[in-house]
Amino acid sequence: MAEIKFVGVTKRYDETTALDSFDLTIGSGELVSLLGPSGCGKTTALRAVAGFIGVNEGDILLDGKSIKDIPPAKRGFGMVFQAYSLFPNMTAEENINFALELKKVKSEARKKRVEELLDVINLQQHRSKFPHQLSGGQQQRVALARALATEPPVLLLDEPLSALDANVRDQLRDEIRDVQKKLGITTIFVTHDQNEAMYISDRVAVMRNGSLQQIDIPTILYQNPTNPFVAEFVGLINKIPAKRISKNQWSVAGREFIARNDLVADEGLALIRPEAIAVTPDPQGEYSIEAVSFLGVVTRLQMQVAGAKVIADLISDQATGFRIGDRVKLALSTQDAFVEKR
Amino acid sequence: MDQLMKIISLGNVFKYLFLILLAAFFFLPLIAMARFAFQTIPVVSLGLDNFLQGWTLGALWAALTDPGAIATTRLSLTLAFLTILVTFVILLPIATYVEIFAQKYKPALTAITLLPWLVPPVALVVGVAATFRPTVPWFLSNPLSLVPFYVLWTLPFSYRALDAGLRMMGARTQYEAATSMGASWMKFFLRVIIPNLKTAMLVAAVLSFALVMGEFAFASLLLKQTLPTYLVVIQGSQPRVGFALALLVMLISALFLGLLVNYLRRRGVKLNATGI
Ligand SMILES: Nc1ncnc2c1ncn2[C@@H]1O[C@H](COP(=O)(O)OP(=O)(O)O)[C@@H](O)[C@H]1O
Ligand SMILES: [Mg+2]
Repeated sequence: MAEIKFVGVTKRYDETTALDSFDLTIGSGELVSLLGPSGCGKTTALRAVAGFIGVNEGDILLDGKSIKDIPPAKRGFGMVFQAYSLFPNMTAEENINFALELKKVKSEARKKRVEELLDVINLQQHRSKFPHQLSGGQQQRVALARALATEPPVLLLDEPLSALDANVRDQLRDEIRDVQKKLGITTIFVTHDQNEAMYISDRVAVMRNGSLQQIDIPTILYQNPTNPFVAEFVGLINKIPAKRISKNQWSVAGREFIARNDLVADEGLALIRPEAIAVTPDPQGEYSIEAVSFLGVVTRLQMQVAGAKVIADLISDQATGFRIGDRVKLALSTQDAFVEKR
Repeated sequence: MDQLMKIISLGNVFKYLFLILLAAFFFLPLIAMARFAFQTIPVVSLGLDNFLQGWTLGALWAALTDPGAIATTRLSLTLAFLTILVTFVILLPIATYVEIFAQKYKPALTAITLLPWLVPPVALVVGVAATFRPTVPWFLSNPLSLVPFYVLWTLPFSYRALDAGLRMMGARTQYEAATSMGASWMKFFLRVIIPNLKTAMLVAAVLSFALVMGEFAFASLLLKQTLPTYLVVIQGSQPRVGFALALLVMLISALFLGLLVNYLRRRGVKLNATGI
C-alpha cells in the first residue's frame, strides 16, 4: 500500500512558479506519468516527492500522512535519473549492493538479492563492469535494479529513457512496465514524450505551467481532452482555419459545428484529429492530395485546407487508391472540436 | 591550390621555428647552468670546444649533503604536505557542498579563489603581519605560518582541479541517487565523492606541491628559510652547489608533473578536463 497525494502544492523560485497549487493522487500500485513540455514543473514535482526540495505551500501525503518533514534519506523511495547516476567507482553489482548495504541488509541476504536483481535486468554477464564500460541502456537497467533493490514503496523516474537510442528506449520502456506491474509498485514516471507516456502508463497527468491540466487513462486523454492544450499536446491534431458564425457556432471547411470551448474572435483554428477526417475520391472535389505516406496500418494523406496543411489518417486497406494530385472531398467529424486563437 | 600549399608550408616553417626558439629559450639556460655547476672549468673559459671535458658530480654531492639544503628541503616538503592537507580538509567539503546545494554561489566562489593572485604577496603579508604581530606574535615566528598563505596562494589551481572533478562525476545527481538510497552525507562523501575525486585530488596535490616547492615571495617576505630562499642564499656563497641544487629541484618537479600527465593520459583523462 502506497498512495501518493499532492495537495495544493506550490513551489516558487525567484522568478518562476514551478508548481502552482498542484493536485494529484497516484493510487497504490499505479503507474502515473507526468507529461508536459519542458519547464512545466515535472521534475520539480518528482523531486518534491523525493524530498530534495521543500514546497512553499501545500502538502505531499503518503497513505494519507504528510511526508513533508521526512528527509529524503529516510523516505526510502527508489529513484532513477536521466543519466549518469551510477557511482562510477563501483561495478554494476557493487552499485546494487551499495543500496542494500545502506539499508543494513545482512551480507548473505545481500548476495542473494543482487543475484535476483541481476537476473531481473538480465545483466548477469556484465555484473563486474564499471558504468563507463556499460551502454546507456545497460546503465539505466542497473540504475533501475539499484532503485528497486530495497523494495521501496514508491518508484520515481525522471525521464529515464530520454538519453537512449530509439530501439533501446522502446525495449527498456517495456521492461520497466513489466517489472513495475509484477511488483505492483506505485510509480511516478516523468517524461516529455507523449508516446512514451501513453504507452507505459495506467494514467497520464498532463501538466502546464506548474499545474495539472488533466489526468486520465491514455484513451480518454486522447479521445476526450478537457481543453485545447491537452488536445494539442497529446497525439497529432490538425489546426484548420475556421470562421465564427455566431456565439459558439463555427464553420470549418464548409461545415458548421458547435465549438466545445468559448473563443471570442471572428477567426480561429479548429482542432481536428487526423482520423476524424474522411477522404473520398471525387473528380469535382475541392481539395487535392499533396502527399501520401504509408505508415503500416494507417496511410497518411496530406492536403491544403484554407491555406493550412492538413493530414488525414486512413486505414491503409482503404487508402490504396490515392495518388498525389488526386482530387478529393473531405468530411470532417467536428463533434466536440476545440477552437483556438489564430 | 599552389598558393594554399605555400601558406601551409610557410605556416609549418613558422611553427617549427617557433618551437625551436622556444626550446632554445627553455633549454639553453639549463645547459649553461649544468655546465657551470658540473664542469670543473672556470666560467670565463667555458666554450664550445670544451663542452665534453671535466664533468663531475662533485657539486651535486655537495648539494645533497649540505646541512642547510637538507633542512630547508625538509621544511619545504613539510610545508607542501601541510598545504595539501589543509586544502583538502577545508576546500573539499566546501567545493562539494557548493556544487550540490548552492550552484548559484559558484561564480562567487570561483572569483574568491582567484583573489589571492590578484593581491600581491607583499600586500597580503603586510596586511596579515600587521594584524598578527601585535596580537599573536608566536604565529608568524613559526615557519609553518607559511601554510595558510600557501593554501590561499594555491587556491586558483586546487579549486579548479577539484571543481572540474566534481562536475565531471556529476556530483549532484550522484548525491540525489545516494541520498534516495538512504546514504548519510558522511557516507556519501566517503564512499562516493572521495573515490571518484581521486584523480582531481592528485592533480590538485601535484600542482600545489610544485607551486610550494618553488615559492619565493612569501617565504622571503616573512623571513623564512625554505628551499627556494635558501637557493638564493647558497648561490651567493657557493654558486656551483647552488646551481646544482636548483637543477635538481627543477628536475624532480618536472618528473612529478610528467608522471602526473602520463598517469592522466593512461586513465584517458583529458588534461583540459582536469582544470589545469
Ligand atoms: N533550482 C532552480 N532555481 C530556479 N528555477 C528553477 C530551479 N529548478 C527549476 N526551476 C524552474 O522551474 C520550472 C520547472 O522546472 P522543472 O520542474 O525542471 O521542469 P521540467 O522537468 O518539467 O522540464 C522551470 O521554469 C525552471 O526553470
Ligand atoms: Mg525535467
